[in-house]
Amino acid sequence: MERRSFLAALGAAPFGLTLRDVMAATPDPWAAGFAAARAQYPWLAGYQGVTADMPTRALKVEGTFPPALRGAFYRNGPARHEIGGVRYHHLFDGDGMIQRYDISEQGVTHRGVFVRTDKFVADTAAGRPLRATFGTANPDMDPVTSPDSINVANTSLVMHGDEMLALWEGGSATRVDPDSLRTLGVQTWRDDYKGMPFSAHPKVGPDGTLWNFGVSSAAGLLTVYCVGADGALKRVESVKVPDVAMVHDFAVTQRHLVFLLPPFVYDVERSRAGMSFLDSHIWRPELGMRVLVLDKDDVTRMRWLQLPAGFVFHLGNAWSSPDGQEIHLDYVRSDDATVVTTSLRELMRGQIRPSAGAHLTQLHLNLRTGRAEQFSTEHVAEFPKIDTRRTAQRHRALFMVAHTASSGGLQGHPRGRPPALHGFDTVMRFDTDSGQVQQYRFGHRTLVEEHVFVPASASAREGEGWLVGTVFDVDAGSTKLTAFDAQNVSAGPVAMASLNGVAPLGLHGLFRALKAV
Amino acid sequence: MTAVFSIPLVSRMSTALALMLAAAGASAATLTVVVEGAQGRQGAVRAAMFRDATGWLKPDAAIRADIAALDSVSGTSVTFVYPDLPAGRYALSVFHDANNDGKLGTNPAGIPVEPYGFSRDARGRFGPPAFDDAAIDVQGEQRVTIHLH
Repeated sequence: MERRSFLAALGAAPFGLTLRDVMAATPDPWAAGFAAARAQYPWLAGYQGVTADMPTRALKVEGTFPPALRGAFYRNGPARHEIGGVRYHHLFDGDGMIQRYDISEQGVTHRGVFVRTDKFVADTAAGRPLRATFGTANPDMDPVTSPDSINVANTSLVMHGDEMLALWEGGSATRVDPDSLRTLGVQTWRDDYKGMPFSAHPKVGPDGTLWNFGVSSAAGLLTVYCVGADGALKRVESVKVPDVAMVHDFAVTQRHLVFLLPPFVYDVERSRAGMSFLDSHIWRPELGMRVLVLDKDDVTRMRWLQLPAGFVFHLGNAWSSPDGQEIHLDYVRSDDATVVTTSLRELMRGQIRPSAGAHLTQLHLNLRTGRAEQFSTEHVAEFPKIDTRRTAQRHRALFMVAHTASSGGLQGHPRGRPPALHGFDTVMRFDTDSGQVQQYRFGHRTLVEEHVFVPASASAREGEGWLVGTVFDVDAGSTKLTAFDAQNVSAGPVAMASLNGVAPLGLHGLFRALKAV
Repeated sequence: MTAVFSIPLVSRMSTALALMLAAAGASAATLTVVVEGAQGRQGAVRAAMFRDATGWLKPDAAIRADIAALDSVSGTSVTFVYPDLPAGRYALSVFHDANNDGKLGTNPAGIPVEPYGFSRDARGRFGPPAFDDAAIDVQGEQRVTIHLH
């Protein structure tokens, strides 16, 4: 339709309105789609998002939070999904909000503060999303000038060297005050590495050394960071990787860094043509899932191994034989990238398109023979966590959220009927040696978020401690902080604290113990 | 999420001028370029002027390459004056050479780490903007502002 007739059809022309005025008055189809679906599916309230910081509120506590959990549980996640009535097209797009649950003898409180990224500030001032995102590139948005121009710091958090960093896969870490949640600025590790990606799943080994990576897709670079326990950069180096893929997580052993590269490969021409970062990736199953093993002492020494095609977000932990040549690791594998290309996109306009569940998979790499073997478990799960004191060492306890209901969830719903829920209903402990499982399933209308492990004490055995995380109880319309005895997960939460209302569903969290006084 | 830039570096040293008075004749034009957004007083602002798309951002094709040391100017902006220009189309690239090494610093992915900008505040998509997007039609007395970002 030509502009003139478009305006005339809307009856705007006689009032001298501009096209933008008319567009502004036209409901955004994504926002409208979501609003309509939300009336039908109450669980979508977890993905509505908020537009302002959430003030401190007291929660209603049931049970007793153990003394080891006195401190704060933080969760980062996309929380502003709409600005000025324009809704983003992917769950991963929204501006990061750090939610903090303070746990003390006096009770539990919750607050949420948006990370003041450049993008957050610019979009807020404009009253609309000026800049593109991971999955949204509307024609009226500014061209992407650098990764940090669209950095939303919405994925995870790490505390290292007394600093809290809010992390995002494609850009710089953002420094945040862990007490006030105030944004302190962008972290630059070294002047010549300003603006390089520092992704969302750093690993901290037993000696306190932090390893992380970042993928610069258009440049085809994989950057590796080594940061001392004091927070000072020890090394940073970039290596060229052919057919660079979307890589969200990695694993470390005593000697190696292990990357799984799904055949979801970046094409810069698509970005130049104006497509979103997500839509600049192409599924190329002929590449298989490539396994890249780098030597910690010399990251230019690259070993490649091969797995069948598959997609992965998260790895559990890796450990190796004493000579370093045999590596074991856990990861959560799906057959393809539908979860990111379809499910988490369509969700944002209220279209429920569950993907086949991702399964906990155990992987064995033999660097002597170059063979990679994997065993897929039956567990449909995500957000694998360990007792982080075992990072890069042999572990047995793996904690996950899982989907275990037989119907009405991600899988198994009657054809043609949307599922009741989109997400996870279970907290699970998996023994990586025996395969034994302990699990607790919440009522079927509960969405379970990542739970992190907190040791009972510094000297506690592996897996002796607590799991802390959050759930969205859909029927109660309440977000709840939950704590489990990690050795008796099946017994259900030992304590719960309920918010009077819904907090935005997020991604990754961390627990920070109250400093001993 | 990454964009690759390869903004050519204007390192050719040339006549330094921060301010020049215009002396435009009837057939000539004067362009005044105000550059805003330098971060701090360290280093200099460098500006390169180009005449056409063929030579756009090629250091050797710059018809002017000028430098303004930040410690020599007062206030928050830097002004370049180009008198006696034949009327026509021109585009500029400017950057804040904070470390004074004569080139636009980039990180390993090719993203500038020093503030930079183009005439008409043009922005490229995964790279610098095209000449046409940055070009100004200069006639008579003209004043433009470029914001570094």
